[in-house]
Amino acid sequence: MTTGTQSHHATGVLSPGRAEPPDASGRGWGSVLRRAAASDIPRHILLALGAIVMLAPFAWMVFSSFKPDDEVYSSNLLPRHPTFDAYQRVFDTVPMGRYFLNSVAVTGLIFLGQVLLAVPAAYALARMRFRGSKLALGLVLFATMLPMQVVAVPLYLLFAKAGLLDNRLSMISPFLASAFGVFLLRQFFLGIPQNVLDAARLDGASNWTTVWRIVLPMARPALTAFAVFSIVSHWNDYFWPSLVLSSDNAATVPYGISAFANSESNDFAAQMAAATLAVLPLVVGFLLAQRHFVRGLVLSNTPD
Amino acid sequence: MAEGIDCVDVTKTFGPTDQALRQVTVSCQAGETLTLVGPSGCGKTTLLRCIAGLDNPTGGTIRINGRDMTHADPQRRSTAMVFQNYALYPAKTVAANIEFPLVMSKVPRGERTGRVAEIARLLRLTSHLEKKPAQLSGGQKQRVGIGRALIRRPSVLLMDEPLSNLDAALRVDMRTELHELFQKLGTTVVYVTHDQTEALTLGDRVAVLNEGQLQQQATPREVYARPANRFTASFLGAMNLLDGTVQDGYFRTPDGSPIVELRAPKAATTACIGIRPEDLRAADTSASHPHVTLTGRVRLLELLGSEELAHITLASGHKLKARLPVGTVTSGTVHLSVDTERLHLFDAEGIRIDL
Repeated sequence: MTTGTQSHHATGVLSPGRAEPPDASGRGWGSVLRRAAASDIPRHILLALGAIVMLAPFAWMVFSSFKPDDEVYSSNLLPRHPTFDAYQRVFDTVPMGRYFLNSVAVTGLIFLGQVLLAVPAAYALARMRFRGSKLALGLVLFATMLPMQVVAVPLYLLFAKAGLLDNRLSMISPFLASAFGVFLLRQFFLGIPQNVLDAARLDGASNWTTVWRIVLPMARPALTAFAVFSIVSHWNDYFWPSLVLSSDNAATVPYGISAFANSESNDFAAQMAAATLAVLPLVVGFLLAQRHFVRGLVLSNTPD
Repeated sequence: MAEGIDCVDVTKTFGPTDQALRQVTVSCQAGETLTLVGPSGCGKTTLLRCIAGLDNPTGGTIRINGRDMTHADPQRRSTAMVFQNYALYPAKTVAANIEFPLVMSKVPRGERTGRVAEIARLLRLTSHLEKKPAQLSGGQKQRVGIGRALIRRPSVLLMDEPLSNLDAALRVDMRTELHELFQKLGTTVVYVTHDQTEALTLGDRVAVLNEGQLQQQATPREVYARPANRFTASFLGAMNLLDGTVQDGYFRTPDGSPIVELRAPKAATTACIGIRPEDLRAADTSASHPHVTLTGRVRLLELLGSEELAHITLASGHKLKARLPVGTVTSGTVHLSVDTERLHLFDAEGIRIDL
């Protein structure tokens, strides 16, 4: 289902309400997918092979984490005597609960802050005319092209001089302004019909009210897509925490388990268990949000 | 204090060259429906947006209920607008859409609920209040749009082609419904349309616009019976316009052969004569009214149902259309006559000359 949908809109531009049904003559998605299923078998085989290559290490990690000590280095994929021992050892050795809380707090606050800052900025760049708006958009685009690594050292020095290292503030604040989020939402806002915004204005809504009460609820697909990008990248981020963290207090899951891997380098099953724990929330979250996520990327929309 | 709307010399330019409105003066009395009609790009929607406060006029004055509102905030004008493509808030339910203007003007919740229920009854939306706009048909969506406009009890209702997104059959039903609604509410309405039937049926008065200029403002009857210029004549009612000259009491083809003898002779000039397709009938020598007879050849017959539309080429080369009872003419040569008092004459500038 998703494969068919995505392949159709792979080149789609980000905007709501533009995506047409695949066939103007009235044949819907169903027949397109059936047709795809009939003619695209080679392509699907290729994609399946790709999926196996991608999923194999992941499956190996999960299965290994359930193996008792004497099976870890055996060549079986599946554990013969599955056990939670490795998980027990992880929780006994490191404060996994605190890592999770830290990760949830850091990724959650980053995403919240990004939305609060990006939504008004994106609306202004998409729908308002002001002096310097083109320059502002240019700067936003420029910022999306800068990798974190480029600005990491100056940022680190800034935090170090301010005495803000090794706490949650230093983990969160560098990411609050997301140029990518601004750009993604701006593209989405461009597609909102002007009449809806005019109507809001006539109904007595200020720009601020329009942004939060009219525009934001319309942007749910784009917000979901952005949420996945933002949460996955900051949940998994190891680079920045490894620069600013030096203790366990504000440690997030990746930082915590890497410290664990270093200290318990012999306990392979426990390392796999820690890694499984680290990705579990993302997998669950993605499965829950998958429908919205794909829609946000595909940017089809309900016909109006 | 003059109730209603007065637009005086309203001008709107976009950029250095695009003149959307050129000194348009129209008025609409309280409780009256004014239709603004014209082809696309004639400035009718721009004028409506200026009245609503969504666009600022470059020049001129807009008075609403006697007060100068030319540059006032949209909310202060006691106007409300209905949009062509509904412009509903897709993430809100029907009830929340209708309620939104009241929320914005901080009306207490209890009163809001009552007023939404009242509007929903008026517009037959009661059973749809909890639906989202995407679940409604086009006609229902437009009723929600009207409900959202009416909920604040505006003294002026502005409608921007509210029926043009509906299919033909529904459009006719909704037109009747709107007509009844306007009569029931007694609100002042400014109604923009490109459809001549809507303009004539709904308007107490009609303002015809073309290229940003007012062509005529009058009652529908007047606009139809005595179009002020060539444009109005051809836009409302698709009048046949024949170019030629006026000389020695005759309207003549450009090469001078007489077509029509005029009742009141004019000085020699180039001119244009207008004949409504429905004013033509099969030539009848016994007719008592003074009339003129035209001879031509039938090019094409189109059956409209009870009538036929005959496309005719006159001997002079002019082309015209005639609406005739079915079977009046067949192919070949025809003689048609028109009462002299039904003729319209326009001068070289296209301005009406009273015969």
